[in-house]
Amino acid sequence: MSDNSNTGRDYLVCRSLYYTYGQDASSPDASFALKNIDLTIGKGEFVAVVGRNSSGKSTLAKLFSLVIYPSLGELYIDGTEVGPDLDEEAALEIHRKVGMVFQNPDNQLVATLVEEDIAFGLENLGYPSEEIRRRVDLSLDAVGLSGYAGAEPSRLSGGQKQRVAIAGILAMMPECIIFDESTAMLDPGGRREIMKIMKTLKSQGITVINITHLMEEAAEADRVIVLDKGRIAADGTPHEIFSDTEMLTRLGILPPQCADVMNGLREAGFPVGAGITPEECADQISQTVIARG
Amino acid sequence: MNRSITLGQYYPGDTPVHRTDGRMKIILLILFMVACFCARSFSSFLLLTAFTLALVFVSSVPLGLLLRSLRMIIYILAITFILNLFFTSSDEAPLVSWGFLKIYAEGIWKAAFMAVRVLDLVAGSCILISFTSSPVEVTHSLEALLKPLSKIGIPVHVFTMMMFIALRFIPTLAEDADRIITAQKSRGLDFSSGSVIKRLRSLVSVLIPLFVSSFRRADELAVAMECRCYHGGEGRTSLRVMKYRALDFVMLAVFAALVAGTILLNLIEFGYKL
Repeated sequence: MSDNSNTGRDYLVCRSLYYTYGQDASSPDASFALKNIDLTIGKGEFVAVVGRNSSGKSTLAKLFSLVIYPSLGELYIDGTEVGPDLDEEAALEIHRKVGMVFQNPDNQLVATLVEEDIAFGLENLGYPSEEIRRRVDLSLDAVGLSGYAGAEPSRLSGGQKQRVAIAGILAMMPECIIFDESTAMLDPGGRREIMKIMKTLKSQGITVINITHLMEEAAEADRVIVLDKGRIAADGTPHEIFSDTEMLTRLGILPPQCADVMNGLREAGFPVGAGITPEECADQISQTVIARG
Repeated sequence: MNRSITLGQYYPGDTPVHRTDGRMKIILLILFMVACFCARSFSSFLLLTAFTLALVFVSSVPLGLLLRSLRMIIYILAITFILNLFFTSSDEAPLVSWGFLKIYAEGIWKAAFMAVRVLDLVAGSCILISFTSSPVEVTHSLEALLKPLSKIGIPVHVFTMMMFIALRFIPTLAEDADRIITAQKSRGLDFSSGSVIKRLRSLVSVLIPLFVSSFRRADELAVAMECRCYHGGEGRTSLRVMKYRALDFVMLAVFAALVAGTILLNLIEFGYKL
């Protein structure tokens, strides 16, 4: 749905960014939710952000979706510098380009009917009704809810509600979607559905940022950023992050079960490589078994 | 927890009454009310009642369903009937007289007329609005009809947005209440015994968490709406396009005829003194 042409260019850029929920960022005893963040996320990347509670994950999501503005430092979203003096026009454009799926599906759906909820963003942007209708149908199709246009969100399952929320963002033809623990309240089935959609979005060139507590989910991203006490503690591919047992213990992160098994095997002296998905693990283990005869 | 909550009394169907545009139905309702209050003569009440029955028939809403929703007004009906019966005085001799209570022939007529008027009014508006339009449709229609008022500074969009969100959150809050009640029961709160005061007091322990949770929801919803480019009613368009069709104007003509008919019947019965 999005413009594929310039995948890879810098999309979200933080330069020595600080954020405090207190009033005064310049006072010496200000406590910062985010400290000295230097981060560049390219267009079309699939990034997972992990970390303990109050490590600053959600603060980062709020900054990217203009709910809050940086206290110190700079934040660029698609080349536009973001701050409290951003004019309304530019803010609307960023809201259109950067969508956010929240944790609780019940608190982000606005309308009483699925199709009206999906239309909400487009209505706000003043699109003509034929265009809204066209895009609502397209978005419903994209999340696999074609038959649900006239349904009431309150009668849908959690996973379906989150898909409606995603469709509402897709209708605005976004360039980036942030999932702020969007699967936390879902059952495993709903979680899988949402992960599948994230991958599809990524393949369409949309930047996907998944903020999560579940390392199994993080393992499916292309890049994992670990936050700890408001700082970036690690930034790398899932393989790099999840095979560094020492660092994971220090940061209080339980690696995905598969990575854990592989790390354990390696410590016990088996020559297995890194693996973070069940398929990779099975592959590695069978190779080792064959090699040993 | 997955109980379904139906809002209002919407009775789905595909009759001319259902198909009439929501905005037109509100106009029709106003015309119907005018007719109800214009009716003064016996024949005009006959016309009004026949019209209401025809409306029920056309809308194919089961009579039993309608009567059930009329049950609620029975006390109002009884009170107005009694008041009219006893407090209408006339120059003629009273039919019955107990001390200061006197019943006149005119009082009986007046009380009967008032009862019929209220019954027709409520039945008619139930059929026109509650049974044949969904709450969402009514809100959309109200917004469309009241839109001109925003030109003189009345925040129509804000009010209708509030109505929408209220409608949207009724099932969610009902679920919340359910959850809180269960949670409080598991902590030993008793809702079903004790004096009325005691029961009301135990309700407080449900209402306060409910308030807190709805404030939290409201907060999150506001952020979510902003993230979806909401910036007030200015420049907002709608997925729904409302268009008046031939049927709407036919209905308008029918209801206008009803008003004219009632006035005409009054004139015939009472001469030309309105």
